[in-house]
Amino acid sequence: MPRYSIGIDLGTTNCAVSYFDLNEGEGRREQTMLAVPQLTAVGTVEARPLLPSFLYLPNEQEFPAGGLGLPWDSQRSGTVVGEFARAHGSKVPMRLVTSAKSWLCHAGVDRASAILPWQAPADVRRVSPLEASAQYLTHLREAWDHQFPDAPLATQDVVLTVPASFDAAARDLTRRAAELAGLPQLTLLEEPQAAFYAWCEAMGAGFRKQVRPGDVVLVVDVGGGTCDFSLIAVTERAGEVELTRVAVGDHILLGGDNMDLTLAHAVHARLAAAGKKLDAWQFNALTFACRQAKERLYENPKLTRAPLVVPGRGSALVGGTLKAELERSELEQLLTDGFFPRTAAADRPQTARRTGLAQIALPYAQDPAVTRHLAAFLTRQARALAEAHEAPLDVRGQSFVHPTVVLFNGGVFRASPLKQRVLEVLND
Amino acid sequence: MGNTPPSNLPFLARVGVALRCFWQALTRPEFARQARALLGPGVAAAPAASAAVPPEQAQAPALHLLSLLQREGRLIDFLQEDIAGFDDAEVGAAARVVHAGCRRVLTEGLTLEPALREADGASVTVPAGFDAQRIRLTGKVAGQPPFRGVLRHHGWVATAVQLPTLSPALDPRVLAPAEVEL
Repeated sequence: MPRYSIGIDLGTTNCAVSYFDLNEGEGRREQTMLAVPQLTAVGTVEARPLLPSFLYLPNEQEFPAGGLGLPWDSQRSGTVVGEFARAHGSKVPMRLVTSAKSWLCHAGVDRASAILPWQAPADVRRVSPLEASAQYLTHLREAWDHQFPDAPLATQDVVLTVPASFDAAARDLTRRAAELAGLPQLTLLEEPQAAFYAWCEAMGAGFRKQVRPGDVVLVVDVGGGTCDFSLIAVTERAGEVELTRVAVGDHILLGGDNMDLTLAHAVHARLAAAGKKLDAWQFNALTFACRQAKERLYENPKLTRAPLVVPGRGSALVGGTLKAELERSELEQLLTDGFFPRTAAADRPQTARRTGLAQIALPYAQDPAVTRHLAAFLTRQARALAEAHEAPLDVRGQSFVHPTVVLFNGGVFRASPLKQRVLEVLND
Repeated sequence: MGNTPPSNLPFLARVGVALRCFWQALTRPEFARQARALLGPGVAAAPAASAAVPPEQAQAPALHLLSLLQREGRLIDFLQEDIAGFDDAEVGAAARVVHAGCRRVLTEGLTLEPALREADGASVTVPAGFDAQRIRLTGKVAGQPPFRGVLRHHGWVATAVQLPTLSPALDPRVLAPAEVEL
């Protein structure tokens, strides 16, 4: 009998594990995040609630013996997963695997062949998107088994979330990754549904007041690297509320990371105009600083600007630090209006002209406007539903689907002005 | 079967305990003290063994904390730099780097609470039998408690410590590696 019910989020930029104890009985149980021990520096292991989805493939002589040990494997060497992989890999990008999840659903490549790091030099060992995903899951399983030796993860009730937009091949590869990680038995759950259940759980009994049979729930999920839309119809059968997934959008490679990069490029241009040069590492630091400034400005509407500091890489800190500012007007112009412009229902994402070359690298979205992708999604779904037999929704006479409830998910929507903008666009 | 009392640990589990004791005794002075008491006079009578621990190993957790503050907040760079020639705005910008990073180390590694809950400037009563480590008396210190006074600084106490430790395979004297870009 499983003792724990466990949810695993295998994300594009971060993984997380959350669980509750089934023995705590019915009613509201305490949900806990697993603190995942991971390398944060050579020889240093720290437990963090998130495991960054980064895999670093070190050179044999790169680190001292025993420096990559983990609590459950002190002699570990070979690969690094998590925070140290992310931090060190930003200085050695050719050995760093990123966005394995996006590669997992990229039909343009052989997802089980060793192709990552993408365009790495010949002497760097490569792994497949499948193997990278398996490594993240293996780390999570080992972290769990280390903390709960009497309740190994493979024997528990495990749910793994996948984007609703994952095709059958990507789902199958996710299952295979779990098998390689020693987790042959688990349930795949679509992320928007997971978000909806989590919201219901958070609302407690109050959710029935917010959602009624007949409602159409739009789940807008904008994470670090991807953007997903889905529509869920709320129906009732024999007194029980049922959720039916009506429509799923494409897996759009556009997320919070792109937003932070846009801010960093704008600030970088200003610094460059003033004769200040940034190397790749400093540009990363600037991107991180922009992200924090963005969060502060969105959180506190009274601030008109937020300071940005980028330390130099050398040992001179005061002499090497560059400073700049992020203005609120700049944030609103680049982010709120750039990524969430006010759009008409008929607007379509802009696409660049085809070059005739087959696209092999990750197919990043060409139009940064989340709201235009959303408008296109709702219009396309209205047309599809109008043509479908026994459609779960009646959309007759509508040019696009009007959701009655919107559920926001993903880190980007910690910024309430962005939620407001999406609602504004939907209500127009 | 049946001859062994259930409380006896199997051999492999004992190896695990022995290794953990070794590591904890190295990194946690308090544990080492308790372990020595548990082991009895045999070990206490052999001061030569404890004197053989090199100072960098005895102080490994302190050195590691410094390396964390350097890694996250560039503290050693900041303290080792001659700042006399820079203006306040430049020092201020660097201070933001130090503040943000070192604060992260503090909040993740320690749970800090004031020694006294009242705000600075509040009138407080120091009762008889007060904890003289947690409360320092200043000014006209005379007579017997309870004392009435003004709280000048609420103090700090780490109520929980979860600082990471450094792997014993590594030399704790290396606070930050040199970086060579190829």
